[in-house]
Amino acid sequence: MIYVEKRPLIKLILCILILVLLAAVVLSATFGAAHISFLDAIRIMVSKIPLIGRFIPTDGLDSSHVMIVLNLRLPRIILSALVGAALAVVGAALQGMFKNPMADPYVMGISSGASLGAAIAIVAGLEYTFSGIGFITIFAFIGSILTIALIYNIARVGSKIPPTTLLLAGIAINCMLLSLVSVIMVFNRNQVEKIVFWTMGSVSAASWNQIAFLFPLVFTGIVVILLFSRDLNLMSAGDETAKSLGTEVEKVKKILIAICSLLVAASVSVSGAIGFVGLIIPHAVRLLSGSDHRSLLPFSAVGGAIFMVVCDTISRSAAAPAEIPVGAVTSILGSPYFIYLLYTNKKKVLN
Amino acid sequence: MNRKEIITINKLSSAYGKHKILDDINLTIYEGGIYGIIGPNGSGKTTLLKNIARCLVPKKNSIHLADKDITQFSNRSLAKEISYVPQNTDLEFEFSVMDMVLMGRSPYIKRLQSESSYDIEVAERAMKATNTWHLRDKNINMVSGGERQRAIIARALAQETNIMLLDEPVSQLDLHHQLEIMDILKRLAIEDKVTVIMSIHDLNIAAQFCDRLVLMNNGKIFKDGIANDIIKEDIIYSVYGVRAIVMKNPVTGTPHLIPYGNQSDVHRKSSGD
Repeated sequence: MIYVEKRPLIKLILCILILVLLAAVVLSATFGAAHISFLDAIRIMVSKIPLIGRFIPTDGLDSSHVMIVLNLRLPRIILSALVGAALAVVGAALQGMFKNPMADPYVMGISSGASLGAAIAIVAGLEYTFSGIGFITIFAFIGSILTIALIYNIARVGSKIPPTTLLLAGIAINCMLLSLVSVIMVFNRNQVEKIVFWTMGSVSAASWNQIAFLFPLVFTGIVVILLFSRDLNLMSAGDETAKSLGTEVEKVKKILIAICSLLVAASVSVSGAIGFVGLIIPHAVRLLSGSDHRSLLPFSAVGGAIFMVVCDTISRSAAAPAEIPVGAVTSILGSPYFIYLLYTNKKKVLN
Repeated sequence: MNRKEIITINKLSSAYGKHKILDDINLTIYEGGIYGIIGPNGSGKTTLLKNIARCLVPKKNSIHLADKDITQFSNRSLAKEISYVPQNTDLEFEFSVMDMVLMGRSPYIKRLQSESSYDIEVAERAMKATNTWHLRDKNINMVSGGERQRAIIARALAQETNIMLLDEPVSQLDLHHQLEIMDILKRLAIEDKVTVIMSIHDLNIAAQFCDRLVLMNNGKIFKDGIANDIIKEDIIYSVYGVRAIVMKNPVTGTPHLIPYGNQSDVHRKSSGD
């Protein structure tokens, strides 16, 4: 069947996935020290939705439970969903654009820039917040944007951006910046733990302010990337093919790299470095959605959100009251899949 | 002969860095028929095709399509005039053969639209013409080399262009599939009046199927004309350095080349004595 014929089925599966995401959000809100039932969690959340909320009876709900769900758990869940969606869509777009199934937002070295920015802010003791967003976040964002600009300019050949030079420049800069972070840690031993935890990734500092910062970026970013899905299909057949089929390849690449970078920078600046989401989610959802980016990208967004919500729930409840950095959880779950991927690829090569 | 000029190439040069690949190419291509670009490895065949396809951007006013400078076209409008089948056609991800052929309709589909029933009809016609219709649901990475090449030609066909460029479409295929592809291209040129421009290594197939040959050497056009004027013993020797005899193909009447020795063999013999 061709894509157009499969579309009704694909839409149905996507709707089911969205329901799964909503269920995961509610379920995740019931996990934690305070016991809150599934139904109560739904009532608390739905009562805050404009228009519909008025019809939900809120009597009998423990006000401390309302506070815990709305101010502690929900921001964290929504933030991890946003980060997961952004990273997975960026991963899918980069893999298509670079015709490389191993491309990943972190290969581009953006996260190390964020880590360096965050490390500097931590060491400098910039604990203040600026309209609700911490200076660490702001420094991480600036750090990643500067890193992208640097990598882009190293990799650029004339007006073109060859994927190999971009990935290699990303790897080199990644190494350099992470070494700088290590040096900073050596000279500031009392802050090591904080820096390490930041670089391992966590959404524990989530707040509604961060969501207000991240949501518009992630939403518009994903919509714009979706507009280029057909171009991404053509580009995954090679730049020359895409060009001869009418895509303005270099222009599209620049737009997509800019948007992807912005999305990753915004995500890592609130969550720290979270690996493997951008790499494995597109591969995992490809089994359901097929390779067509018109379905792959929305599936990745929802799949990434589900995966991150689940991982963050594990990270805060598996060893409660201690917290496992969510970046460690995604990597522990992600690397076996990555190895499985290598293994099947190896088989393909041998055959 | 009073055919319409469809592509005019005027003083075209092309270089990778300082290394000059094409040097002062002048060529007029008329509507209809198959043009075979032949020549040794590194003579600039692919670079010439890439310039016409604008995968490499030529200098202003060096290539004209009808009367319009090729650099004036947007990629989308050029994709409605020229289709291009590159030499390496890997798809990293898994698409069905028909989805791949439908990509050929891209220049006609707006950003938020999807393929119309007309697009599907065109793709179906292209696939039937290339004998790939039965493969429509197969994964493009799972079909044989010949089937894949036919599917990619179907994609180019679905673009509904007047000009089709192909970079060595038969060099990786066995004898049977070589002839199959050439037959398809011949039918396109005759029935659909598509101007086919292809680079090709096999001189005998080129002589048999191409209406006109363009022989390239060291980035220049050595000679162009009909097969009988190009496939000649002295010309082949001076371009390829190969000693050969040229006979007449008893079935098709086209020149047939039988190589029997290399320039270097001669050297080896004289130094060995």
